[in-house]
Amino acid sequence: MNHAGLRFFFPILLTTLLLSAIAAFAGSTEDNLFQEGNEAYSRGDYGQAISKYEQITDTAGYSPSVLYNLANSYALSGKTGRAILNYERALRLSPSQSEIFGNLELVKKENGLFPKEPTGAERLFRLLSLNQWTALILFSLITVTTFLLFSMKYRFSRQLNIGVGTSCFLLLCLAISGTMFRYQYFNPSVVVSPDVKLFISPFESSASIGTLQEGRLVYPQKKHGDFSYVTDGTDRKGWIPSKAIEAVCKTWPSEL
Amino acid sequence: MRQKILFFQPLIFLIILALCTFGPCASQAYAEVTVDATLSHLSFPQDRAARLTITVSGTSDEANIEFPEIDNIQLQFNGQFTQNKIINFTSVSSSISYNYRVQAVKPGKYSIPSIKVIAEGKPYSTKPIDFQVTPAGVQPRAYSGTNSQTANEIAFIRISEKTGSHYPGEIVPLTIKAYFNQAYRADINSLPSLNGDGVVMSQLQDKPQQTEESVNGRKYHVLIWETSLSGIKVGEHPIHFSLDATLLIPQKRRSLSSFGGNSLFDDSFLNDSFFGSHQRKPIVSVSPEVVFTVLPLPTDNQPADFTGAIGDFHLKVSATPVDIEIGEPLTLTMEIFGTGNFDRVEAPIFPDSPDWKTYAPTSNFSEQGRSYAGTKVFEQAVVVRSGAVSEIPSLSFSYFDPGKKRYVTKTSKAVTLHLKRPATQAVAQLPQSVQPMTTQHQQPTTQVAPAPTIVGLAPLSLETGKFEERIVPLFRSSWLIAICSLCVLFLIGLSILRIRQRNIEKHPEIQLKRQKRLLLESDLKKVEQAQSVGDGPAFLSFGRTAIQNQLGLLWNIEPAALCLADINGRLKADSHLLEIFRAAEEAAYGGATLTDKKMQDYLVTLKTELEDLL
Repeated sequence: MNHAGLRFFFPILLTTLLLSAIAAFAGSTEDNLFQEGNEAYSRGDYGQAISKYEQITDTAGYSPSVLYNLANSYALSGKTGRAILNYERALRLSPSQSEIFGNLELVKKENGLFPKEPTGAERLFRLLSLNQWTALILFSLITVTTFLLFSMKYRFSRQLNIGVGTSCFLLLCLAISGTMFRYQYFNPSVVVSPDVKLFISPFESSASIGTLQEGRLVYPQKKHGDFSYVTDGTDRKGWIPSKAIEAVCKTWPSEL
Repeated sequence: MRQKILFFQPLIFLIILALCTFGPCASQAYAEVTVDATLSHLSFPQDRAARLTITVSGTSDEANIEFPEIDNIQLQFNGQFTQNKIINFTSVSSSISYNYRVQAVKPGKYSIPSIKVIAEGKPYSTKPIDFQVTPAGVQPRAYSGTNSQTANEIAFIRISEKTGSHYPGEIVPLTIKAYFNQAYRADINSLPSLNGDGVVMSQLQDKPQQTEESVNGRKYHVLIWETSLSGIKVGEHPIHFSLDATLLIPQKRRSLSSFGGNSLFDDSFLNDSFFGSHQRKPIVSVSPEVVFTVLPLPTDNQPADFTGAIGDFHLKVSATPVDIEIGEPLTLTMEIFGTGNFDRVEAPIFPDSPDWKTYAPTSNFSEQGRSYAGTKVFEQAVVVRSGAVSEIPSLSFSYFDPGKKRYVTKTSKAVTLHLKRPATQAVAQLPQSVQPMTTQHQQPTTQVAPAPTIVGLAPLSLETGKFEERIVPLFRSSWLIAICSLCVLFLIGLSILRIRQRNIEKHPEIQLKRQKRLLLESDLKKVEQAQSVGDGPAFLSFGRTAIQNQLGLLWNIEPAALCLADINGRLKADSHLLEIFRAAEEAAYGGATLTDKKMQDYLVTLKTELEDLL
């Protein structure tokens, strides 16, 4: 290797080593915080556990495990709203993890947050998560494309052509409907303050039309000043203070 | 001439009708959204407020208004109203006005900067407004052309509340009537405001009722607001109501309508200076002062569950389902209806018992015309924990009746339950560590159960797992969008190919024609090349081949097998193709050649004749 080659080789090598070291250090920091959080949880120091887990989410982002542990800590410290918020977040990242779903249902039940009885269509669309419905769209598109490609080369019977085409089309329609349905409910906000009043106008002085229990899911539609206009699970509509709710899906990290 | 007039009359009528019909529609179709901000008073005292109106014209959709922070200025939303103007009786122009109450913390010169308004998804800005706030007590210049008695003849306020004693929080219905002499014209600049301490008034409607009344032989337009007062402090509170208006003194003519030019309540047609100038004079219409007395609530015999509800209420309790198993939740619905201060109405307290597990109730208020009349519905989930339970116990609700001047307690009947047995398993499943509700008689306003110690949570995760920057649904992933787009494009392309393939299969003549055209193009290219180098024998040879190819395909004969005799027998004797073919035969055997001009003529003939065969 000549001098010019060496002149570039060493800085690149040093930079690579430095970046690897930083990445390893960052990874170990999160692991350490996670372990400290778990230890605090085991001691029953839920406040400390929450602090540790939130340090991780602030710096490294979201992981289903961290959110799940954070939600457990909130649940045991009596902060139902924040517990449900973090279970919902964890479920968005890992919808098939039964522990998250089980604990969420338990916390809801213990706090009297019984959901509205779903209709037949809702039951159908809730069979799969949003990502699973989306994957089904992809599957049906790839299947129909592949079939069409093969039908250019090989001659299939008319019945097979119609059967596969219709099935793929129906599956695609169902998957699109499922995706649209689930997306409506993908990013609710969670009431994180106890017994929030629902106002008819976006002012503290306006008349209240009811209260929203901590942990209830609401769907904000618009904002006015410090208030958000929301619809709750029972289709009640009204204004609540924006600070009393928190969105499940936040843009990370600028809005955190 | 007369005939011409008779012909043109209906034609002109139709044109005018069309212009009236479609002209405004066209203008409506191209109407642009405009945004305007006006302040009712550019100078007002500190203890008064001005009305800021932001009008969004050209749309009926609600706009999003972003207010900038203004030091020492308080802005309070005071309602909105939609106005639909009928233009020429044919088209409708919509606008929405948003009213805000502007009040200053201290006197001085202020400016409302440009306000950003987002209407129909596009941003608009208003012009800045400068205004002055004078020290408290300095009233705006009143109508100077009349004395106070005359001013009272022009406009005054009457209220239904004479005098009386009330209790803190009690809702006192009130009717405010603003009278405006029909002999004058006036603009209303604000809603009536309450002046006085210790009493608050509920929000007024933007659109009051309108009527006419005669007072002392004079006819008045009357605006009526139904509202309510509520005392917040014990004591005697002198109060009165005032309303800002602008008197329009006509300089040349006098209008018969007193509300002709009001921007808040009506559209002013005659307000335009085009129809005669007006002198504008601010006036303040005031009501007589009344004393609103607020007495303290009696403390004797005050029920423990009294939460401050004052009025006249009724209680109705029901539960669904009533056929349940132990451990199954049932919904307890408690309806409190009547009149009074529903803000202070809380859910009846479910008696503390180890047989029941209760959850915090939710509430929903639906008013019946007025904010102080309606039904407040509380729904509470309760769970039976013991087989000894046979009914939901009676519940009670206490309030203070100002008419009877005493506390009243309404008690519901017990609701019978039908427990399905056996249910011992369900009891075992209930988390035993859950704390029942605390004795709520001691804390009547706090209905929420203490934080339950949740037993049965799945254990913690021990691995941090994979981190994500943000929570986004799969369908927003760029790779998925790319794959789906590719699939769709591929599908479209394949579908087009497939359709084409099928089309060819169904119509083989299309393919044959295409084949013939390609062959002809290729043959003619060779002929042209031979012509360009002046090679007569090659020209004739390629020409001969071209004729054989096209005629062979046409007659379904092997092209190379076609000879002069075949062509001679099938084509007409004067055919140009025959002539060329013959010349080519002769050249092939006799070595004859062609001049450039002849080659040019033959080439044109070949192109024309052979293309006609396609």
